[in-house]
Amino acid sequence: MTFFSVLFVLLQAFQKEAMYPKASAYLCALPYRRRDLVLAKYIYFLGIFLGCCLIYWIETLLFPELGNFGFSKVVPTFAGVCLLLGLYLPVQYRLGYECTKYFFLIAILGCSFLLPMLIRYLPPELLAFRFNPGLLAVLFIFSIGLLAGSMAVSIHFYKRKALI
Amino acid sequence: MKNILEVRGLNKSYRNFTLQDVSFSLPEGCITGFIGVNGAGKTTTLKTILGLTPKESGKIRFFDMDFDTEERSIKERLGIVFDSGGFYGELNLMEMKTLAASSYRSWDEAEFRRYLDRFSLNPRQKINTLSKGMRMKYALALALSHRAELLIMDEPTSGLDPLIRRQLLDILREYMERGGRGVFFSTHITSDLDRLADVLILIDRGRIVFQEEKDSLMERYRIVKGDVQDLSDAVLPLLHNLSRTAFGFTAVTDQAVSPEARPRTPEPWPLS
Repeated sequence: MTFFSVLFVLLQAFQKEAMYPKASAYLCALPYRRRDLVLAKYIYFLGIFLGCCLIYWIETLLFPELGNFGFSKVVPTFAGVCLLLGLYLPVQYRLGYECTKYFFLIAILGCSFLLPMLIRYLPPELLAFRFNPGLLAVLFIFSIGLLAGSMAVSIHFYKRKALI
Repeated sequence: MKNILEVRGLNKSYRNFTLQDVSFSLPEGCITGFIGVNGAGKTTTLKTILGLTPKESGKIRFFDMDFDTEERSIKERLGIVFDSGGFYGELNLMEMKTLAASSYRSWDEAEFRRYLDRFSLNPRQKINTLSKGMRMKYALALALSHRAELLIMDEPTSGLDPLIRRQLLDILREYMERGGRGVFFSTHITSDLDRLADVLILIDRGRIVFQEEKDSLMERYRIVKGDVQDLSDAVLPLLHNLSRTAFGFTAVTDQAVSPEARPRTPEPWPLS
């Protein structure tokens, strides 16, 4: 749930941003560095992720039938979103939103259809797999590393982009 | 007189258009008009000197500082006005102001409020509900509220009605009187230049044609009108941009002050 909420909110934000391409040029004509603007997008993603996690956690408190919501769920979800965005954002900075929006839409729709099917055919022992704290820490560090690498590549592309 | 902007050997290529060896300078204390027909390269030049499109070669210096190495300090001292504003239309004026103001160290909130009052702008109004004239005034309020030393404006008067255009020109004149160090604005409306500009830079097909003081151009060139029968072989080489109609001809000449040329051509009319 958190996974899809984050993706939908980000998709809306990217759409809004793409509606005003001249606004990006205006901001870059101000003393902002292009690096700052890329950084802001990644920080925005982290903020949205934390917000969605908080809302879902409150829901699990109000409706216990939703199950527990702890690090064992947050970290794998974070890793999944980081993987998707970490690949998508540099491509978006390189090719623009218009060329890449279908990738994001297909990824969201594909995940929502394919994941239930996949879960049906996965062996039960894999579904019952629980991350131990050490593995969660490694997964979290890997996700942060992936995000940092993605950000560096995005900055590299955006610094050379001609703004209209 | 010191130069506040110097551009040397700027080159930039697109598939269908090239800026070729663009060089010019902006003297301090002057309003400089950057003129050319649509597609001549005005906006491309402005965007390239602001670092919005990467250049292929050339040197850009503002206030004696290299743009490549001191971009941020330079941008602190620039006021920017784009043709369409370049704002997020769904934000209101205060929200967009917060976005712009937080990039400047020397932002003057009181000055910004004064401009909003003066232009009768409602800070809670959404930007996409503003008319083109109001949007231009808002862009000016943002550009003038951080003690900018050079205003760079891309087609600020395009699409504005004559009254708003006159107000805009008055504000620019006032900005210079208050000690602004320069204004650089692109336009294709020559009447605005007539009222305001001190120096003109003409660009055509990506090349700078000339950079001259407006007054010396006005002295040197005249619009001449007359009967087609007056267009003798001796006169024709003296005329540029000749257009003929059934009622006569109109042309531009740079020989109006030459006594030899005068007897054969009708009385010169001042450039308007």
